[in-house]
Amino acid sequence: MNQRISAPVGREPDGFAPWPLTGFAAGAVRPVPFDQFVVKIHSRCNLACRYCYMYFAADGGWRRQPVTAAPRVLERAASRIAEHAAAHRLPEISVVLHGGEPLLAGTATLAGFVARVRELVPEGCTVRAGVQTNGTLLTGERLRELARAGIAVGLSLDGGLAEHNARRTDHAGRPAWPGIRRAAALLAGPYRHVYGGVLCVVDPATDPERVYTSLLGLDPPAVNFLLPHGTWTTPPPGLPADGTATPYGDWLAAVFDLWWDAGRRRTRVRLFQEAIALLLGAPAATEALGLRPVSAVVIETDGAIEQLDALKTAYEGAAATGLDIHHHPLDAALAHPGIAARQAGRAALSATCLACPLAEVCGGGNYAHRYRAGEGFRNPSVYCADLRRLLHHIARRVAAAAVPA
Amino acid sequence: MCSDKSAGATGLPELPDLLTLGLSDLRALDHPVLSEVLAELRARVSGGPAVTLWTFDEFAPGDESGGVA
Repeated sequence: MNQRISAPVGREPDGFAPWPLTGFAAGAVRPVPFDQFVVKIHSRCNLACRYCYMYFAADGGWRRQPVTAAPRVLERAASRIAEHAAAHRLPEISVVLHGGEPLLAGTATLAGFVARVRELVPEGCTVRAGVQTNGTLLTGERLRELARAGIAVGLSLDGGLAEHNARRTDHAGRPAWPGIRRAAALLAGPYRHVYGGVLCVVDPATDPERVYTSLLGLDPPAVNFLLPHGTWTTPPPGLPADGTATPYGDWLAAVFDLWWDAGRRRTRVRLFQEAIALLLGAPAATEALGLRPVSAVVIETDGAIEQLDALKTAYEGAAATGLDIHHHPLDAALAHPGIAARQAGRAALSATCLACPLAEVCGGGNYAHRYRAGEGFRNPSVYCADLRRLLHHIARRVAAAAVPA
Repeated sequence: MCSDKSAGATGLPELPDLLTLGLSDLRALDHPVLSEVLAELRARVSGGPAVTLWTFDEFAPGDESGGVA
């Protein structure tokens, strides 16, 4: 986990149910089956990054979670995933092992769980498996085990230099960078075949060229830049309230130009590629942009079925559904207003977003970033101006390349 | 464009309409990055083997794999 948050907020007022928990006709949304299952295999982390949205955000639910998912929880999770895949005849599913730091569960547990899912799903259903890690626990031996188990590895870091990762420290304050650098080298070298890529959270206080160039130095096959989680009530760091500046849009536009003008595609950058897809009217898939139904669900360490983690930056309990794998099939979560709202496309957008020429491309941005206390999620993104800045920039660059002078 | 409930930055030029550009029309381009991206987008819309698109962002990769099969 390498997301940043500004400051925690508390609970919504008792008895208040923000949109879409009230005011939204979830039953009118045709549900799209889940095909991506985020399994919290370990709820704690060996790092103590103060900006982490999991441990220093609005929702303190992680404290109530067991440290690791018990064997019976993993067995039930595998069973529920397979049940869902069978019920909807899914040809392909994705299982993402997450946390906390999932490697704290041990590679044997990770491999065993993935193997069990593959064993239980119907014949003809392909299971794609991956683990998202801070990298500090990766060794050659563990990577061999993950590769043997058919598990891709995604690496979370804040840039390709020690200075970018200065705030990634363990609980004793020791820098995580040496371990991260070692992991990146192993993945780029002998274990490239399981290297999923890098997740990097944008920090507008850094030099975008220095960050991007240093990431290229780690030779990842793919990079995704994430905006730090924040809301209208707890704005992201450095974002002016009056929208007179667009620090995140400017930062990303600078990186886009470096990527675009390189003479060849040095690495895949998911945010940029999905933006181009949307601008050209092609199918795209990302939480950050567009209106594609979100078909991912979280299974917590104790078996609770939850919405995606970013919601935890809104208010205590924002990601909860009240369902769990011990008592409910995953299908039950499809009827939850929060899940349905993220599958509703334009019907979930604010009037402001609906009137915007970028509605189909921006899609309102990441759902969690639309939250305002006392109202809920039917607002533009707190990053509205930055997203507009970036999308306009990308559109101009693509138009110029597509229509030669 | 955005209401008083948004950041409200103004002053951007008109947005180019890229929807008028067909993916096949863009085939003969001299831009290596765009050419590679377009090749992948054509695979998404072609009649070939289905490409599953995964929406969850807090997992690298940036390609279309949801992990290793």
